[in-house]
Amino acid sequence: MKPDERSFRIMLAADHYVNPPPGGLDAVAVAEQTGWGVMQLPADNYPPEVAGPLLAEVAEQMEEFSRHGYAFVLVGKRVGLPEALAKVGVPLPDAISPSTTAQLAEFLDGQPAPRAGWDTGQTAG
Amino acid sequence: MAAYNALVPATLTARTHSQVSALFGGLPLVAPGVVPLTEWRPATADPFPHTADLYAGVARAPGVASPGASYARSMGVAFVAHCLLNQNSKVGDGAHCAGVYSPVIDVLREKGWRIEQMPCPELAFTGLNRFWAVKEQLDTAAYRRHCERLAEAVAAAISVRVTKGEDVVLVGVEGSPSMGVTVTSSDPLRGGRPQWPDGTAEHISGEGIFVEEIRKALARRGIGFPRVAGETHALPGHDEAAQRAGLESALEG
Repeated sequence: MKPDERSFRIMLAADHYVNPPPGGLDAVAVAEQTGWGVMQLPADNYPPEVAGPLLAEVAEQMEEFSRHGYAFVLVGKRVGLPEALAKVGVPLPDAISPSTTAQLAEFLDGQPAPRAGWDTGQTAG
Repeated sequence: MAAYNALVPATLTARTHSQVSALFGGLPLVAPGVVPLTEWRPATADPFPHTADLYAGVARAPGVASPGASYARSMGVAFVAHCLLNQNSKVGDGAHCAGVYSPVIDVLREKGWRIEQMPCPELAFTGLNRFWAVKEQLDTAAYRRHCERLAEAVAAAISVRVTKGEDVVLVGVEGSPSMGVTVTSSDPLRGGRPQWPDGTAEHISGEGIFVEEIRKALARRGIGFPRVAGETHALPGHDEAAQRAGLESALEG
């Protein structure tokens, strides 16, 4: 079996960075190049009754990752995200709203190493 | 019409409903089809007082690739298993790459499909330190309720897309006890022992628990279950080209 290849790094990304409009910044492509996982935030045009439960699930999963030392960043913004994270006791991570690929790549490169890792005595969790 | 055209630089051509419909060349029309402009999905529930003397219609060209990723050029919406964008959610020893699982995500983007990530039901319920499991080990009333809650959230988002006339596919993880779309894992003997019995066939035809709950949630809303495709790493003889072909087939319908 191949070793587990996870990076322990997760990018919380606003929808328009995952599904960019023409000419928009493609954060998934940057994540692929730099080895970050992506957690997508609900589309901005979803009504609150649709976006709310999805945001709550994002927050619960982020709490699990955070508690186990995974590194997080926020790319873009999402109405309701700070409140959803506050409900599970997780602070907003270091954030950026980049306009260029280089800005995002530089931001990711400057992040501290995650506390979790195979060589830090931590398990995947 | 002739008098009008004599006065303007850009002239009009009068066409019947059949003639306008023929302009679409037989491509599948998005509901409500070719109708007077004022009846094509009006933004208000109040009817316009007069019917416009113009026809409107929108058709899709199935299988035509869009260059790069673009929501504006979206062919449809692919609801994808969480781990396809984030391999960090995998059970220990299960991550095939650092983060984004490119063999599936890149196909969706090449084909111009919008991506929507579903929550990982196992991550939120059994956590990052979970063991590998077959369906019987997870299939409890509590896990079903958890999956039902998540499935309702996903079904609400799918409902928004379907209401807008957008095409939807669901991309899961074959062999998964939760996210399998045509193959799940089953072994009634597993559980409660440190060594699993050998020689039992784990993979069987069927859906994972979360996918079953999505099917039920959509049915409660009167929405048909979408076309499906799956990442196939867990299956014996995994073949990336075959995985891609299966995904492309689902996208083309």
